[in-house]
Amino acid sequence: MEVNNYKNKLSLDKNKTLIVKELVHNHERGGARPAIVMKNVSKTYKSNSTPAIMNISFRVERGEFVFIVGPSGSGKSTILRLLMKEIEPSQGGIYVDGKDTTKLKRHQIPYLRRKLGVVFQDFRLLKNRNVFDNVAFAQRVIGADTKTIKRRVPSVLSIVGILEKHQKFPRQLSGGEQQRVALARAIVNDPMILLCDEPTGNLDPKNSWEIMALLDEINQKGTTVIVVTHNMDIVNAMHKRVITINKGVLISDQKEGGYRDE
Amino acid sequence: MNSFSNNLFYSIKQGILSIKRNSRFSLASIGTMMASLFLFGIFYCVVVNFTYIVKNAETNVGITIFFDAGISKAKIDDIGEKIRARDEVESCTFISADEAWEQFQTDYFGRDKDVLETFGNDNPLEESSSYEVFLADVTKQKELVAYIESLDGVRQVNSSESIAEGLTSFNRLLSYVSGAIMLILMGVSVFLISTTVNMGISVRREEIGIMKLIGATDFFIRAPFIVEGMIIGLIGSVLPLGIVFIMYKKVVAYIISKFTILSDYLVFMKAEDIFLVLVPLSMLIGLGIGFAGSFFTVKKHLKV
Ligand SMILES: Nc1ncnc2c1ncn2[C@@H]1O[C@H](COP(=O)(O)OP(=O)(O)O)[C@@H](O)[C@H]1O
Ligand SMILES: [Mg+2]
Repeated sequence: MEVNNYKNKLSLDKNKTLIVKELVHNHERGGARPAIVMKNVSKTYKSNSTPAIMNISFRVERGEFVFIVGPSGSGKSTILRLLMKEIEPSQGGIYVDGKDTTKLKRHQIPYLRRKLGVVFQDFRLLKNRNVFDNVAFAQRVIGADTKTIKRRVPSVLSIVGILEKHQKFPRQLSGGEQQRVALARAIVNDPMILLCDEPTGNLDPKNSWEIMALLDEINQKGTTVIVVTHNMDIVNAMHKRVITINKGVLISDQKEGGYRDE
Repeated sequence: MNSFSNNLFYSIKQGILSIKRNSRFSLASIGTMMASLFLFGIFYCVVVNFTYIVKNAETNVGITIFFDAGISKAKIDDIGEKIRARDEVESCTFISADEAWEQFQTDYFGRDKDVLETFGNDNPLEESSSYEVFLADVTKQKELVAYIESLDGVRQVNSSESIAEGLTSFNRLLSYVSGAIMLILMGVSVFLISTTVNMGISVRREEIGIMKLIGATDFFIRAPFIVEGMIIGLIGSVLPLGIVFIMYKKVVAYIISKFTILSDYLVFMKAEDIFLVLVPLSMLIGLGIGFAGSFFTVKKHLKV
């Protein structure tokens, strides 16, 4: 009895020291573990002679909302694809949730991607599955059971405002509606970071604003959100952090930035 | 339920759906699979029965040994011991001159009492006592005959070498030929299943890309295709088994009724005994081919 009490006390003390250690560690590093760190990252595609991005460095804290802007071909998608580990950097370090993704083995990549929700300009929905199944699919992938799926999917479909169309197939939906489904799929597993590559690129202004409002709402609930976009009006109106890329080089990183064309 | 079994049930469902979606190619694969395993079943039955018949015939193929005139009983016993000591010998029975004569009488003069009476109490086979030797392994016959001929006191060794050798070499040839044909057929099956799965993958390239982006493991992506291949293999093995079973019974009954004269030699195995092995064997081959055909195809595609 006494020995057990002693053991409990010991493990409590051990936990406590661990927590204190982490607090001190975080404090000294200026807060919680950053969501994303890119350190001097360059990428040259095999078929090209000039690099797509050069010596890019930035850091995104957990819970931040960041726009990445820049002209077409400047390397924005390349940055997102590097973060997803769809491609490998030619140089530099990429850290997601404090882990060096360049050191991940092949079989570990799926678990990195489960920390990331992704949304694309072209939606990338499964054409032969209805709205519900498209979102449920993301849950299947991580091995969720049917009960969880039946509870969770309607809930995210109602967050993005498309619950009443859950039996429709992608071809029966407008672009704005398809992007809502894609967004629901991206957040259904509650990712740490949401990566969006020109999510409003194919949408009219009204739908663009609605999608951005949803992204903001998701961010308010604690998810880190990175949005690559061309939409000046929205960037200028939302007063978020803006990273500007031009010809593969990071040319500005403003806390409450705007986006000037050129 | 844990996530593994969730994924497993899901994969099986997806595999079945995929067979339905590519129904035309799935049917082609199942068809080839059935053709291969149908032929396999027939070859198997023929080879197994032939081996069985040969084994049976072997027990009827004996060696008869006659001794030098005036040989002593002790000397005969000595020869018998030496023969029995050989591994390939199944049995070695002494047949005395009297027994031989009795046998001869019933074999040749069964109905002809008059001829027999001319011999009276004399035994014309007085010098023809013998050993009758049966082999456990008919392939060793030649060797054994040479050995026995070298023994002191042996006058003559009778053996039907040609039958034994003919049976053995034919049996071997049959196994080689059917083995080769089977290998070719299985290669074709693997190829067709791989083509079917390949079709499914090309159609679902985009889907696989999306799956990877949302964090699907290779196992999760691969499993439905492997299930698909294995189901095709399994379906392809069951039907031919049924057909071969029915055919076997019919053919055996037909042969036995047509060739009553050969009934001593044509001893067939019972269908149940053959299928006790053939059923699991065919199903395993079907599953194996289905697994191999899809596993390696998907592996190639996942390596991006
Ligand atoms: N898979 C690829 N292979 C070769 N070059 C590529 C590939 N993807 C992008 N690029 C090149 O890299 C540069 C940056 O592209 P990208 O990151 O897509 O720009 P953005 O998203 O800002 O429009 C461009 O010059 C583009 O042509
Ligand atoms: Mg782009």
